[in-house]
Amino acid sequence: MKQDSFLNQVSRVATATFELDQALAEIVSLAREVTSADYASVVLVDEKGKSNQSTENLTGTPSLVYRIRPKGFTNWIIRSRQPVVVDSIESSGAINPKPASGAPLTANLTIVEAGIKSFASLPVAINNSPLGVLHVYSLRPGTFHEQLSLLNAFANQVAIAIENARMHSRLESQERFITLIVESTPSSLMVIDRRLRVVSVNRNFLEKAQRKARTTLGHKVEGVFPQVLMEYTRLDQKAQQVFSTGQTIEGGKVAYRAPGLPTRIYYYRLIPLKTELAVENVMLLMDDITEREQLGEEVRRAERHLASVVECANDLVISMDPGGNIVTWNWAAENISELKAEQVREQSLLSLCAAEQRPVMAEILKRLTRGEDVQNTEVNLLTATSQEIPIAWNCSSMRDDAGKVVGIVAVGRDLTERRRLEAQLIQSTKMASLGVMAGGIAHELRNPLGIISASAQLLMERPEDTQLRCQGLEKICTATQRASLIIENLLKFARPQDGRKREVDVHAVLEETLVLLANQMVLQKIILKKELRPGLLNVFANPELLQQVFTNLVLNAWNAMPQGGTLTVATRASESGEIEILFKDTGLGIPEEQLPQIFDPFFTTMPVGKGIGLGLSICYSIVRQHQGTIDVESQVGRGSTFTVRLPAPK
Amino acid sequence: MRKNLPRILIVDDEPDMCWALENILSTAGYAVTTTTRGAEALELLAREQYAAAFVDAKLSDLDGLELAAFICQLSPPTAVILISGYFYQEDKTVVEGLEKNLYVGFVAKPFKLDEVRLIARRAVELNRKDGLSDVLHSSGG
Repeated sequence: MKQDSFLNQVSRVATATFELDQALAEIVSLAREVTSADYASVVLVDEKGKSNQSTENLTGTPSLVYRIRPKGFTNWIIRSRQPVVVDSIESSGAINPKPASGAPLTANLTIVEAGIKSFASLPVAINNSPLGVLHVYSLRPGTFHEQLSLLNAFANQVAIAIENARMHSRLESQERFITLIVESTPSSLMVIDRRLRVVSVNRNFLEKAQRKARTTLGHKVEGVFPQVLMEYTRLDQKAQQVFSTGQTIEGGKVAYRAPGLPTRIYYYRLIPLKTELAVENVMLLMDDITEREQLGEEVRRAERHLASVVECANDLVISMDPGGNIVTWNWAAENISELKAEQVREQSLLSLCAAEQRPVMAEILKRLTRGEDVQNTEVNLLTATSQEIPIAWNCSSMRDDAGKVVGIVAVGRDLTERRRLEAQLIQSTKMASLGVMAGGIAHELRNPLGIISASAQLLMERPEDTQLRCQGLEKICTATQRASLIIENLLKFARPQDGRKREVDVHAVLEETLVLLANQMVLQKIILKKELRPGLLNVFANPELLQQVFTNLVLNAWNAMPQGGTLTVATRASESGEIEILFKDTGLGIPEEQLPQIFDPFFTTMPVGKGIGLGLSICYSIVRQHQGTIDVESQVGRGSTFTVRLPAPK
Repeated sequence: MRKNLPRILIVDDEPDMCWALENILSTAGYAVTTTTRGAEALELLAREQYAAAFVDAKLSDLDGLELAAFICQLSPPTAVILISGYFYQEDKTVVEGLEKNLYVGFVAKPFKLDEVRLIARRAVELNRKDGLSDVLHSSGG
């Protein structure tokens, strides 16, 4: 009965005390008392089954410490899990009764010397996994004889105490871990129950809300947050909804100003904390998004700034979807086209281009959609009143982070004013070329004049000669026609051009140009060779402007051959169907370092007063207006070849 | 009768101008041959003696001034007259040529018929004198 009450006491200690050291101390002390032992101890082993102690500290008077032997009883019991009861120890350390096979044959010398005469050692184990060894020692022999079952009961209680303490410490460490996570989370967390009372909050919440745990925990939610916030968020209704549906509610943004702190913006959510059966609690999770919001505001401000940059630009700035349909249309585009953004939105840019130039723009848009680069181009824009405005377009594709084409940007410059200046310039260069042509034209006119004059005088001398009269009159007529054709060509050349494009026979324009200049060539001993490919297709161009290009290129060749030479004018169609017109001279040639500059305005190698260097730059500008290109190849001392390429006829 | 007429060669790349000069000079008592090409003129000069030659300054195949120099070398007795729609009497090129005796006269287009006939007569006369002096020289040698 006494033993039973001891065991009950032990059992209470084992289950109620989570502090292992304290529990063990109490159990050991009880064991000593019940078994009349002088010393008692428990040696613990870790989860791998190894003793983590190298010495044993025996409780008793006086206290006794001995080294645990590697092949001593403690380690043998851990391995064998068999109890040992020793009734007597001889002074040599030999023990009685004889231990089981494999067990140590002698007792530890330290306890022999301490005068211990008997002891019992029992494994402490749960589910066959060893937790330690319980030792009891006595200064008298035979103390533990017949006490094995009692000691076993003790050992079991020790095992329970150890297991409890360990489980408790595991739970504690898990709880500490979870608490650590909750407390370290940079979000504000609040857990509320069904009655909308605060069950738990983390440190972040208390800091942000400037509250204390004791004035928060157990209080109603509406007492924790300001009234205005509760009204705005309807937090209580939403929490109830989460309790009933078990679904998370994305609450959205809310501004919250804690006492003494500036207002901050939070994004809040209500998350159900459920067991399998029901929603036990609702967690309010609040993320401080103030910085992110401010960043968003800055981004929006930058966007507004960019938008106003686009809006205020003097150039047309148009954005389109990948299909070429207009998305944005800035002020300059409205102003130049007289079409409002609302009128053109979702329309294709093509529909706003001059009809005959649509294929050019269509090709550009197609290439941009495929992600290819395109060259600048000049395409006329149609206004609200169907007028055509010349525009130089610079188009590029917009891509997303993955490189996919998501849109097209077109920046256009109104060329009206430039065209007007160019027209003036072309007109003055024409006048200058007329000066150069004058000598040749004089010769060209004085020949027919000479024929007319001589024939008329002959007819006056011999009015009766009918044969002479017939021949003479015919010569006069032919020569007069020739002279007037020369004058006509001259006037046609000098007349200001209207700039309209139409279907043009390149050869006809070339011939007209060469007629005017042929004499000039002859006078400078320049042989003119024509290699015109028959059956060349017409191009879409302005003939007067083309003639200006050809004139400038012939005069350029003429200037390059002061000692005479050969000018070959050739035409051909390239493989891609472009019409090519070549002007090949055998003149001075252009040094390589000057090649990049020759199409620049005012670049000239001529002495002052002989040329102002606009001829080739005008050629360049005109050819560009026709979506064509002009190139030069040259070798000093051998001559130059200028190649004009005009787009393939459609 | 015709054989005794002084021969005149006309070189101008305009057939109608050749026609006019032929009519002007044939009625004035010259045997006229015309060609539009400088190369053919040289061939004709190699075959026949001409008292005078009207040469246009700008021909399509040869330069008129060069042709004049050729004629002086090939056929010294032939008196060359330069005719041109490009040059004027006062032009430096024309004056220099006259000073160098490349040609004995210059006619600017358009011209008066009498002007052409006068300059032809003088050239032929000049040719006669030179020819005579040539004969004198050869007989005296």
